[in-house]
Amino acid sequence: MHVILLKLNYLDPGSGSLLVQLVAAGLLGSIGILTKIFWGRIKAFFKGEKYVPPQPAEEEDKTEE
Amino acid sequence: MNPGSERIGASFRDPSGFIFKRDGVLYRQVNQSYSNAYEKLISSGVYAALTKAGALIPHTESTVKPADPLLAYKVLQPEPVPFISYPYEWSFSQLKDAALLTLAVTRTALEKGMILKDASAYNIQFINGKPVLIDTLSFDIYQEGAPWDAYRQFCQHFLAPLALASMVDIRLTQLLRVYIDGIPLDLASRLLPGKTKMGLSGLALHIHMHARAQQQYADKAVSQAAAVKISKAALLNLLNSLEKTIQPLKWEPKGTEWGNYYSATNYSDDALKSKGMLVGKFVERVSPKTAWDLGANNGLFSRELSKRGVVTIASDIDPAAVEQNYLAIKSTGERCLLPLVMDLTNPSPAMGWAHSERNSLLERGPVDLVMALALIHHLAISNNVPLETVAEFLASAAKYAIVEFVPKSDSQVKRLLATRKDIFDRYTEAGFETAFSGLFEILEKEPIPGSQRTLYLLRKR
Repeated sequence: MHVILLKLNYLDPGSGSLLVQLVAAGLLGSIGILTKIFWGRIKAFFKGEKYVPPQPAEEEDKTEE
Repeated sequence: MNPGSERIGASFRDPSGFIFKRDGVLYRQVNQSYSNAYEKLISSGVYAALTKAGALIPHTESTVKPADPLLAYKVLQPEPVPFISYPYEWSFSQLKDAALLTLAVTRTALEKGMILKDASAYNIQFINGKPVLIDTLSFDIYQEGAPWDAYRQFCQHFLAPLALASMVDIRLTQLLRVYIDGIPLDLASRLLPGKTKMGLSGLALHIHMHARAQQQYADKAVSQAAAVKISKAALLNLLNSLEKTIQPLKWEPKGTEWGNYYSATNYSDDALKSKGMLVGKFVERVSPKTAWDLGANNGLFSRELSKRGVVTIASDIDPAAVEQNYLAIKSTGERCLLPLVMDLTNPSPAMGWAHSERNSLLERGPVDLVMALALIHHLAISNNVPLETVAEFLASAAKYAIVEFVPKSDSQVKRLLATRKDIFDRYTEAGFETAFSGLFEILEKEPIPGSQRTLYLLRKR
């Protein structure tokens, strides 16, 4: 059985409230993450500049010997 | 003995335990069913962190006999709360601070593997000027993936009234007096301005969309909900989002009755000072421990009580005056003074199941001293309350009373009488003394310098 069904809650969380919560938490989270990922592009767009992706940090050369 | 006989009416819903009173002391019984959560509360450090921050009421484990031994795990003796107040008696910033505290507590709990299983505004009380969570049994063990069961309650108890007060009208916080489990979200959604529905703003999500979803899924079974899994990070997002929605909500008093009362009264600065000294003298004569200052405005004279260490409630009908008072207390860190919104012509009633969940104002008394300064004329003339009835009310509230009599010759009373017929033949100083003489004896009577008013110190017979 699902863990949530096992919990003995005295408050009825309400089905609608659970779903909105999921949407709200997920949505806000993903907007945050998307904004973070695309922040460079967004900034560049509003500044009217060309977006230059950041150079990935150079990994140490691990040559196999 | 009936195990229920000592139980206090407000704490019956939660099966984790309940409050009981024995020999004048309040205890909290923790039931067996809550033993794991209680131990986790202590061992996880949630209790220590929150009590240290002043966010949760401290308690000691007591050895008294439980009120219901069959169910009992432990008995706690929480630190006493000086006065229980209710969200419909709070000013805007009091409700907002209580909301932010609830979110902060949830976040701290979540970081340590627990969560708040309810988010009732009634679990918050103001102690020494600050909001504190008083329900030690509100914590549950957090299970990865579980949603926040109290989300709906939080929106109903806090977000909806704050949004309505801020964006529509401060008086809508009084809806909390009608709806004991918070303002229904569909009602809040209908009352809020249309612009709050736009986009993905906090109010659009947590109120409008929330209300629609409730309607849509009102009768759908849990199987729907059982599919809901939500990560801890997402839950923290939700808490952040609620905080970001509440933080910018503001209420600034504009054009209310008393906003600048003291600059528009009959009192000069000197007269205010000597009135304060007179009040202080009376207070010292009876040295009360607890007091109610009724019609306290922004608490100017309440401080004659609280600065002497008297635990004082400063109530006023005007939310602006109460807000001003609370903000002053917050900035100076004053203790002993709790401002509340209260319409004395219709004070908070006993409410909830069997009239016993929320106490009426008088049930939360009596106190040692009740103070009614510049109030009698409002009750007697604006509200047609006979002076004998005013005396009865004050006598049921306290043993001592400090009452200011404002005669008809006073310009404030003239203003009240300007628009109506004077049907108050007995509204004179002599009439006042006669009306009060049945229940009170006069200990002191002094004219207030620089005014036509008289200050009385009365003792109940």
